[in-house]
Amino acid sequence: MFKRFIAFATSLLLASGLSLFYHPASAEVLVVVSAEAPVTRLTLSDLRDVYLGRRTLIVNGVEVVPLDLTEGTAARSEFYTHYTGQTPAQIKAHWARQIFTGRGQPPQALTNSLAVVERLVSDAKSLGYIDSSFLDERLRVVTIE
Amino acid sequence: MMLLVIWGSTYFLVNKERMVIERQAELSVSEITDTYEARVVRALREIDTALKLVRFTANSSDYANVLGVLNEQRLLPPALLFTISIVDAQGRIVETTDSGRLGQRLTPPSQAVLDDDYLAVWETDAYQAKQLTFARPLMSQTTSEEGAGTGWVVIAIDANYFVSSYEVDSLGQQGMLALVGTGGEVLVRRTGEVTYSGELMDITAWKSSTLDAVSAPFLTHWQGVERYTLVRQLYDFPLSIVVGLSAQEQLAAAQQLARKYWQRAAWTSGLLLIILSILARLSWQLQRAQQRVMEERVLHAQQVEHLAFHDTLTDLPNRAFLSHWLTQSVKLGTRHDESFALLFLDLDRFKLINDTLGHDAGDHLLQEAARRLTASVRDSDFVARLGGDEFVIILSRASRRDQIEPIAQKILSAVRDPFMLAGQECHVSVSIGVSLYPFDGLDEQTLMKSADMAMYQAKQLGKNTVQYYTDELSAEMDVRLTLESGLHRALAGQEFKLFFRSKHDIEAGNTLGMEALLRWQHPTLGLLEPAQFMPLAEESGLAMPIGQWVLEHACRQNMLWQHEGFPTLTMAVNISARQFYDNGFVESVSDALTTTGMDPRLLELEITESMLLQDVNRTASIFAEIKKLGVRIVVDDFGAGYSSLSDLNVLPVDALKVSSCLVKRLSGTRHDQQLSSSVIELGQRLSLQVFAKGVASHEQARFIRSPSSHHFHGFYSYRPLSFEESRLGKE
Repeated sequence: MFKRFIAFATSLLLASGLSLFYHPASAEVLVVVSAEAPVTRLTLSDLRDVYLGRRTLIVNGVEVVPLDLTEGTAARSEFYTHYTGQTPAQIKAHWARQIFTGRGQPPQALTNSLAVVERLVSDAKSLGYIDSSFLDERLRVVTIE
Repeated sequence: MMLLVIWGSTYFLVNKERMVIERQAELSVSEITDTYEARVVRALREIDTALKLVRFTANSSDYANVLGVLNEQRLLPPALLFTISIVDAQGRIVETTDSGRLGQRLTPPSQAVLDDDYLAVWETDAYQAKQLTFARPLMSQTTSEEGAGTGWVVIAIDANYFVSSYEVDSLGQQGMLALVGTGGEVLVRRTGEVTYSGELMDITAWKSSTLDAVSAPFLTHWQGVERYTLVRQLYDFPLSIVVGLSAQEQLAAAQQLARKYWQRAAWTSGLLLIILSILARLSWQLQRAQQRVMEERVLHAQQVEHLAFHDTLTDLPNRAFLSHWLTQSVKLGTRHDESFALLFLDLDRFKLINDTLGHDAGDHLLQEAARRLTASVRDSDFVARLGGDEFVIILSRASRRDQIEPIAQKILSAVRDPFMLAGQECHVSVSIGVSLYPFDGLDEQTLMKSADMAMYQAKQLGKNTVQYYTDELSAEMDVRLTLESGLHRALAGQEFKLFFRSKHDIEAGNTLGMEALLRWQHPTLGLLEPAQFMPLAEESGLAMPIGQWVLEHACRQNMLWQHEGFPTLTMAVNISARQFYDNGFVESVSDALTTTGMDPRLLELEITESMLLQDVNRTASIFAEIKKLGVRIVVDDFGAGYSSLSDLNVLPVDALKVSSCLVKRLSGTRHDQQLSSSVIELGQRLSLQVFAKGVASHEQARFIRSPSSHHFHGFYSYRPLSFEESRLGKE
């Protein structure tokens, strides 16, 4: 129990420290959608829910399909660390439990940001994250509140 | 009893609670097992399906990149968890979803034979994590004919995947989810947050013998933990699942509850014991108090009864108790034909001691006497105090005088011992009267009266003695009572009579005077002499009035005779001691003389020798006063007893009357004659007139007239005559 508490506290500290370091203004990873998509802003909890498979619909009845990057990419680990406060291993364990218990499937993973950009442009429902260097005019950055 | 109920019900509750928890644990083990089984089977099927799909695609198409194509179509399980590879016959990875592993060698399980189409499962290590690897040989209808297989389709997955459904909420920190191979080798096991592998588990022993889908969990003891365990062989896969719930964790709540119950039982018992002990103590105290009250009441009642039936001074039974005892004794005597004796006791000098030494001394005397009386009789005898100085003793089973006499003598001697009262030695005696049941009375009153009479008789007989009741005594007492009641009447009713005895001159024989003698002409008892009634008269306080009557009537008679012309005679009157020492005696004599007018010189007062010597000084003063009146004094019964001659010389006595016994002796032996003569001579020497008393025979008369006894001045006739007779004699 005490051990667990310590672990929890440590993770909280780490998360808050990282979040300080990776502030959205200076982040290299951006949450983006097609410029034609209706979504302009998302709450942080909505974003977490969508990427952890807890829901597919967001606030105004708009369905979004999250896109992931394959494991091992820098943008991916930064994304999860920054927005969900969880390490890739924790995310993996989460999806293992979700799949094993039959409650969901992880988002489709693409191998790089460019593939994500292409998919976003072609599918207005998609939601993805990219390295900021891949941002172009076809995309819109979603404001995370 | 209540403690038994409390502890019994507590035991029952605890046991029931434990059983409920056990049942719940077993139920939840079953539930968890069902769910787990379903999930594992589904996961395995997905994996197997993926393997078959990859093989099918590889065998049926010419795609160079089978996995890429399939992934594109999203037909493969998520690469995030599942690493899918195609291995050639030499074990080299030719295609994989994890690009990092491309070209690595993969060692298939030794027992794997490429010919057979089956699912192989083994453990591998990748990225410092245990992985489970599933493989199917990659062969097709076309290639199979060519002989040896062309490779494998392999799916590797983190072993944790198969135990990721472990939930601490339901399984606890000591629960267990495990996937076990056919040989009992643990592929993966999770307990709490930790996963294990490579252990061996003897699952065959834990399997139920029946193949029922719902078998009851076993209570197993493995690696130091007791668990409710269910083992289930998976359908169509060479694997078993094991689900365990820690008995300790499941029962912790029950045990805590049990502890609480036991504690409550202990508290309740303690409280009950305290209450019971308080109640017991209170009831004990109440009982004690009641007992004390009862004891006090009984004691009080006993004291009251004791007081009611005992004399406070001597603590002897009192009159009431005596009465009760006597009644009882009479009843018992009647029934058993037994006799008993009643002793009536009266201390002889008690009144004197009480008056002279004070009441305290009197009380002390009574107490001491009571002690001595009690000590003198047997324990079975009964000693009571009637009051004053009267005691009663009842001697049981005594019927004869020779039985009673020793006891009576013992009592007499016990009382005769000197008493120490108020610092001085006192001598007391007791008079005892005895009556016997049934001879002297058949009831309480008669017995008491008889004993009282006997006691009175003892007093009369000089005290310090025992007297037994007799019928004669009773008769005497009857007479006594008759007399006593008759005395007053006699004085008023002329029943008293005077008789006269003549006094004669020794030579001439002529009558010199008369002696008046009192007689009582009783209507029923006849003629009574003074000895028969004077003691009674003295007791009744009639001695003086009677004496007065005699004096007066004697004088009157003398005057009557003078008036009738008889020669002048002296008149002698006997005076009793009581009368003589009475303060009004001299006055009564002078009254009689003045009333009748008789010459005082004719009156002779006869005083007995013993009387005159009781108190010589007093006698002398009385005599002096009598002499002043001119009355003569005669000493009666001279020579009968002791006489102090010197005293006689002092007193103004006129004449002596020699006692009749001396007179008798004059006619007796020579020695007797000399003794009598010398006494008579003595009188003469004192220059007194000497008369002989009680001359009955002519011989005696002749003798005293004889020259040898010339010294008598005269004699008295023996036989008294009544007034009527004496008158006749004169004529």
